[in-house]
Amino acid sequence: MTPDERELLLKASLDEMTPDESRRLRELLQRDPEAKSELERLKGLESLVARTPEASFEPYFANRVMQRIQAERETSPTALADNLARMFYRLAPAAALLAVVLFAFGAVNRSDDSQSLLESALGLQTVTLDEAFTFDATYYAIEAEAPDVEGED
Amino acid sequence: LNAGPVSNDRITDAELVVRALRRDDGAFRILVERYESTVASTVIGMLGPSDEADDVGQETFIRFHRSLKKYRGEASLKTYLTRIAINLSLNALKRRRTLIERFVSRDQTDAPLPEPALNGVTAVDSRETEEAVRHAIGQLSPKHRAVIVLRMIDGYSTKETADILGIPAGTVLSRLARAMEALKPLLSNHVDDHDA
Repeated sequence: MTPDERELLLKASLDEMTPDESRRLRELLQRDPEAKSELERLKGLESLVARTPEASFEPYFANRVMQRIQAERETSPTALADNLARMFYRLAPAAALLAVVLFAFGAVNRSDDSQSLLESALGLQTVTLDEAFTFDATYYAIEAEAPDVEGED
Repeated sequence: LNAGPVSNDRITDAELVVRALRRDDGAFRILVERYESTVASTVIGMLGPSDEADDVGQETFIRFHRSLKKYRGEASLKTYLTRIAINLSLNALKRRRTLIERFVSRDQTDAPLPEPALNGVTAVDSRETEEAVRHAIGQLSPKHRAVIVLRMIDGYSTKETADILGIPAGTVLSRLARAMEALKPLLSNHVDDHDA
């Protein structure tokens, strides 16, 4: 039997033949009685293998998978970054709200009409050029040393 | 662990994948439960029922979990998972072979390498036909074993088997033919019993 004929018999046992292959099979079976017994052997073998009972894992397989996924998630290098990102997403709305409140408070309590809205919102004092260069004596004040009272008596 | 609010078996795979991508462990768990038997059939068919098979089965789902973003849904999830399972099983067989080669002494290397017992079965003339079949499949080379498991046991068509293994359909058929030739002497008694 040629390799082509063997493949034809295999296809027949698998029930995967084109019409042309079916015709060739009929011719082969008429021509070669050995082919018929070979086909029956193949079908028997295929049926035997296909009857292998359904395999299954030990119970709680899904639990084991989920535990491994959880463990992997906790030990992965990106876990810290993920946790920080999650924390950021949780805190970001509250931080944004606080910033808006503080800005609004600063803007409403504007001390000086000449002050810009942004400066007042940020709580910045208006500083003119002259004021910037004026020596602030009180800031740099040095306490006068107490006079030497020795020998007063 | 987060079991999640998902419990409906009617939810499609695509929906579950989307939920799993949003870190919904409950959704991923449903996928595991849905395809556990598919993966078991492939992995246990390739490796036999063992702790190693269980480990490879778990690894299959972990790899899938890691590559959720890459899953585009072009192949069915069943085929996609089977592809991962068969590749991991082939790797496990390679590791197993390396391990055996390392521990078998040089003067024994000319003899065929012994396959580990499948579920405690070491003799081909086992009473249990199904164990004999498993054992006989365990005697095949990994590439022949893969086509037998996918085509004969898992029930994929020749074309699907070819797609999963990334080989032409003609190669699947020629490997099947060789595998059947190899199985014939190992299972001849059982085939006769079955026919009778």
